[in-house]
Amino acid sequence: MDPALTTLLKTERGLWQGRSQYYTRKTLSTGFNALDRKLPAGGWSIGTLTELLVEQNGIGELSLLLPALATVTAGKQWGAFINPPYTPYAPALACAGVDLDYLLIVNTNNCADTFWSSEQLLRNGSFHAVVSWINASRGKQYTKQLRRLQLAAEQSNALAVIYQHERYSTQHSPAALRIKLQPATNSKACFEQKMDGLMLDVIKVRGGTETRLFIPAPAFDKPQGIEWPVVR
Amino acid sequence: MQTRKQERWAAVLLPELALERFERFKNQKQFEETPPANYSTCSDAQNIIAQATGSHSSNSLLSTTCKQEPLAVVQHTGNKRLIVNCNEIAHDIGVRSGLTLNNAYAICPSLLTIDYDETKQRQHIESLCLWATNYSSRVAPVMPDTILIEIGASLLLFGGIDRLIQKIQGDLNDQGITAAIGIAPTPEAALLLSQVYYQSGINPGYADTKDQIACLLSDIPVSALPLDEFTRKGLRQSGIKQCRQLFDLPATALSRRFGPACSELIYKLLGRIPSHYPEFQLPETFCRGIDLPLEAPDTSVLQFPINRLMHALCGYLRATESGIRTFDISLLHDKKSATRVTIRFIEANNNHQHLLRVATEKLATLTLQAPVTALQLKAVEVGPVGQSNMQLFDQNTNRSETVEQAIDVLGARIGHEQLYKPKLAQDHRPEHAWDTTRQPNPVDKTTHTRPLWLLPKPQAAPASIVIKSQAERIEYGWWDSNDVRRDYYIAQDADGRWLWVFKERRSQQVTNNESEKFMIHGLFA
Repeated sequence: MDPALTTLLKTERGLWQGRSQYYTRKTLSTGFNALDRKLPAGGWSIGTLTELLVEQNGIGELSLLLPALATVTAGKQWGAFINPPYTPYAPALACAGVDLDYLLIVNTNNCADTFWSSEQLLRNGSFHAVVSWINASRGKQYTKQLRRLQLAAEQSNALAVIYQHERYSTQHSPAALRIKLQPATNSKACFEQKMDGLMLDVIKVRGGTETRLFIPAPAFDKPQGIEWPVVR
Repeated sequence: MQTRKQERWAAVLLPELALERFERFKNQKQFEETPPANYSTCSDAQNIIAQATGSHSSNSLLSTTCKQEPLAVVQHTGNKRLIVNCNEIAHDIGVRSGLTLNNAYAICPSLLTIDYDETKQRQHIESLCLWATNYSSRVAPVMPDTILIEIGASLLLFGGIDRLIQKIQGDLNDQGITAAIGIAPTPEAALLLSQVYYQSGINPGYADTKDQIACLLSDIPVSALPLDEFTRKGLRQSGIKQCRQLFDLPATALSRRFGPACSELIYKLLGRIPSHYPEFQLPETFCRGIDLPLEAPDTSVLQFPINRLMHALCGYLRATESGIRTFDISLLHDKKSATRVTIRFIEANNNHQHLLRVATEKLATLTLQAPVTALQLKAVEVGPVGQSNMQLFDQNTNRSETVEQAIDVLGARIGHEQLYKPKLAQDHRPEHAWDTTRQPNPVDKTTHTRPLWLLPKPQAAPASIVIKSQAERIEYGWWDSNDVRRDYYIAQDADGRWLWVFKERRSQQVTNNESEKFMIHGLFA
């Protein structure tokens, strides 16, 4: 950095470096080294809202959170899923290392309840990971609710994540970190190299820049249990 | 005798009680403006109700009408109807207690009046006695408007006299009740001090020991003592104006002149002979009601009366060293059967804030068929307080709420059946290998790859899927009707979704088209 700038930063009280405040936040490793390196906080940052944009379920979107969730529940802290699109399958969660005794699942009836429940759990203080699936149509009320959620997340010490449909990626959001998730097959380069996995587009991050990274899919082609003579 | 020496009585005088029973809507408004910690909850619930019923202004309308109308309590004594008490607006116009009703109407034609109802007053005092058992096991109601609380034994627990009084005052404020509190080692002196406090508006101070009583009471006029008219007149004519002069007189002379009552009172005041007030006995079960002064069109205005009932309930629970697991709130309507709401808690608890919050959320989900005229709260299931609700050591720390509390609040609004913990089940059939629970899970993991999302019902897969794994055969349950024999694969569809698909494997005889198709059973999220 320019020495003149450094002296200015030191002498002027009204000047500070924009990024520095995000490094001091508490973080939780994502469990993916590549992703940890790309995020300015060095992992999921605690006490901010993270928005994950997904076009459709089943591309590995929840696996992205599981290492962090496993860390949270292993420390006897509670996690919660609010309004999951399908039944979270207990054997798979257990296999990923999530302690099911510390995971609360909340099925809500409507979007207002989803927002409300998420906010309640964030404000509760006993929940250290709150993951919500939001399927609302955008509107004035919606932006307000999202803002409320962001404020609740800021006052909490929880990992606050919301899943949203990918079509909202172009619209404004108060979330501190927004990542667009899509299967790698959608990208031409990956398709040609036959790379399976998840393509992450970081479209907004406080204290950082937009970036793109690839997380390979787990090896599914290992033998599944006892091999049977199978006719395909 | 050791315990006798340490007795400290707090006389809580509630002079405006009859009036405040009807003015609670005024306080409701106050309550909204200075909300407690659960601000978001209340306002959310109220907003939603207001939106649903389209009656956003009804609440504030109620509060403002009650606030601005002159209001007075009228007591029938023989043929006369006298004003006993009035609110500030009536007082400003010129209505005073002691006026006859006709005179009051002449001064203020628009005066609203309430008849003084002794049984209602007694019920309210009893409710407050229940609340007061929070602070002491010895509570005595003194009709018409005072509660005596023996606080000497509670001082250590509540951290000294100032904090205790602060707490009592705070609770009463929360219920919208004004009080004057007098404290002395004898009940009589405490009662007298509370009266003096109320009449003069100046706190005469608290007496710590019996020796201080005489000193503290010395400047109080004799007219404040609860003596009969004959004695008062006699004392006045003898030139005895202050208690100091009265205390200096020999007791025998007083007895000879005015009868034994006068000297007995002085002895009781100074604690030379013991006095007895019948102590409040806790009922076996808790069931209390409140009549609303105005019909409540929606449930948002019910928060204030519910809060009063909760104070009584919590007092009762603390006194019985128990927590509540289930209670019923009945909303009584005019000419219609009552609406009954049952509220359950995961753990028995006696935390006032929490009980009130859960009840508010539950009521907010209700759509009323008719306006509410009265409320009733009945404890159904009471049990020992759960571990996480023990409040002995964390009374003043600002600790976060417990998981159980969160589940209570969420369950009250969206239903307890919507909340669960995932659980592993001992079954190899994928659709039976999970369950919902509230109990701890057994530790047993499957080592196979399993999808994170399970579809409620398997769906037919499109033809374009690409199989990405070897097969895993699951064959199980041939002994019951849900026989499963499937080969599971991991596949990817054209959109890049990871699917968990299976193909039915049937014996040759039952082959049909269905079994040849791939079915999607889960998604790898």
